[in-house]
Amino acid sequence: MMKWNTLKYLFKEGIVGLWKNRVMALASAGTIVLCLLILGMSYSIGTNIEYILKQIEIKFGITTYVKEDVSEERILALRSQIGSLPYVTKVDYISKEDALKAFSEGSKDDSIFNDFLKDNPLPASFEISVSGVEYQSQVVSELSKMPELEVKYLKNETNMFIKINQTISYISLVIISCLIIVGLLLMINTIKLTVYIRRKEINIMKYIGATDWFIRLPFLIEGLVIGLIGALVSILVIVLSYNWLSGVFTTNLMGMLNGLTLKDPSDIISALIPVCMGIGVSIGLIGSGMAMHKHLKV
Amino acid sequence: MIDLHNVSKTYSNGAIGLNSTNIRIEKGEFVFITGNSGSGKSTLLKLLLKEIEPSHGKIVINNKDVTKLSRRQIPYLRRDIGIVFQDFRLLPNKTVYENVAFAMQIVGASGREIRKNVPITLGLVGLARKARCYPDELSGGEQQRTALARAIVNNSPILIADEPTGNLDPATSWEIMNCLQDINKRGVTVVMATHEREIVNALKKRVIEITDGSVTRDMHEGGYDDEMEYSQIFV
Ligand SMILES: Nc1ncnc2c1ncn2[C@@H]1O[C@H](COP(=O)(O)OP(=O)(O)OP(=O)(O)O)[C@@H](O)[C@H]1O
Ligand SMILES: [Mg+2]
Repeated sequence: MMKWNTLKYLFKEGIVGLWKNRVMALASAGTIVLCLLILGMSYSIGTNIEYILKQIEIKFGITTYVKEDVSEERILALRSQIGSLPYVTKVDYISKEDALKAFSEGSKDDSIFNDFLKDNPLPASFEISVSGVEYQSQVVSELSKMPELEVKYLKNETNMFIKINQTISYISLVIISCLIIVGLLLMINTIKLTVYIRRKEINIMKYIGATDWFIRLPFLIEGLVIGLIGALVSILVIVLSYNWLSGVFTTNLMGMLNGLTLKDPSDIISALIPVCMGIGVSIGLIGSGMAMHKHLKV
Repeated sequence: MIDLHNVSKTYSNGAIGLNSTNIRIEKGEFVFITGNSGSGKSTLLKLLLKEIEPSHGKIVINNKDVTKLSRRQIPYLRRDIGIVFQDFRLLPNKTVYENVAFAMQIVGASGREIRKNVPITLGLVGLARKARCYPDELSGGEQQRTALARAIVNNSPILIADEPTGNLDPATSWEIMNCLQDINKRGVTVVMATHEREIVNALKKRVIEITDGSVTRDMHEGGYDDEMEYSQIFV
């Protein structure tokens, strides 16, 4: 085991190496920052889309359409049957006429209403509220067992959001992978340069009887510090910009979105800090390890 | 202390560095390795440090079979052997004090040991007043004395010197030789490869001469070229 004194010394050597090689070190830290920022961005967007979707689901509940030609008595029976399902808190029946009224309220042209009144194409429906989103799919599967109903589970809207979300995650996954590779290559190059700058010293160290770990440690520390700097800078930027952006959104857009809220900054940040730290430190350590493996013949 | 049994070294390009060499050096000896350029002196010293592997034979240092040491054990072998080179090999961005302390850092010495031993060792080689200088502020002799201090600061029992006076003028060379003799008097086994006729002749130490990779002379209290003097008498 290395002594504290030795570790302190090697840590200092690592920092000195970092400083001598600061341009390259900055470039690799910058790549790590970029990589983590994109990660943070796509994560924030993704979790917020999911979060908003859930709110929408709760807000709007489940809509099930009633097929044509179902009798009044049957509708009443269905209503009490749905009401007695577990987790269902409220059932509203919207008749064909109600639906048409609601529909035509949006448009100022009464002629549509009059046209449709003769042959109403809108279906009657039940709007069902559930005590929690997590029970929604369970209720939906119960509802689909009833042949008179056609469950509409905010399908289109949800699908669109899910698609956007998926596209964002795919694109960012590709960018992040590329950036991780670039970050690793830059890290390898940075450490390679430090190895080169210190080659005489390393040679002398070997003659004096330095162990492999004594020689390697400063390079690992250099990589670690670069990774940490990258992680810390990106965390700082994410924290500041997310706080700012969520403020802007809440004050300017939430009115339009009917009281929907964005995920709390602290949730996003507490999830991102360990991920950013982990990725930054891993790129640092793995990069310097690979550089040493190739260029440091100890 | 140092034992070579039938050691040969052929380099990968076919050059012969050393050829069936048997050498035995006892603890506390002072040995000159002489021979023409390319005769195999450095090869011998590199074999002792396990910088290169022998093609044949066995090398024992401090009762340890060097050829059997694993790569991980090499640093510990080298901690028993101080080494100085013709070109000093100091770290240019470290002071004299730091260069010597560096050798102690490597073996994991404590800060207290370092603060105690480095000044003592610098005193031994007469550099106490230059402790804060950087190598490029020193004369060649002072640089080599710094290297000597670094080589002995960990109290290694063996000191290997490959032409340590090769870059120095005669007067400075003598300073270094006096240092080496002092070190030897403190019990350190000294093995020095050299071309310097005057030094070898004056000190009357053991001389091992290598010619084309083979030991051609091994004399106690020898001179640089006794046989030539001997033959010249009869010419
Ligand atoms: N790394 C190497 N690869 C191939 N051949 C080598 C290598 N090192 C030395 N040799 C050869 O081995 C022989 C002995 O070399 P060595 O360096 O031991 O000589 P030396 O006695 O130290 O010479 P000098 O007095 O010039 O330092 C020479 O013929 C040299 O060319
Ligand atoms: Mg040589």
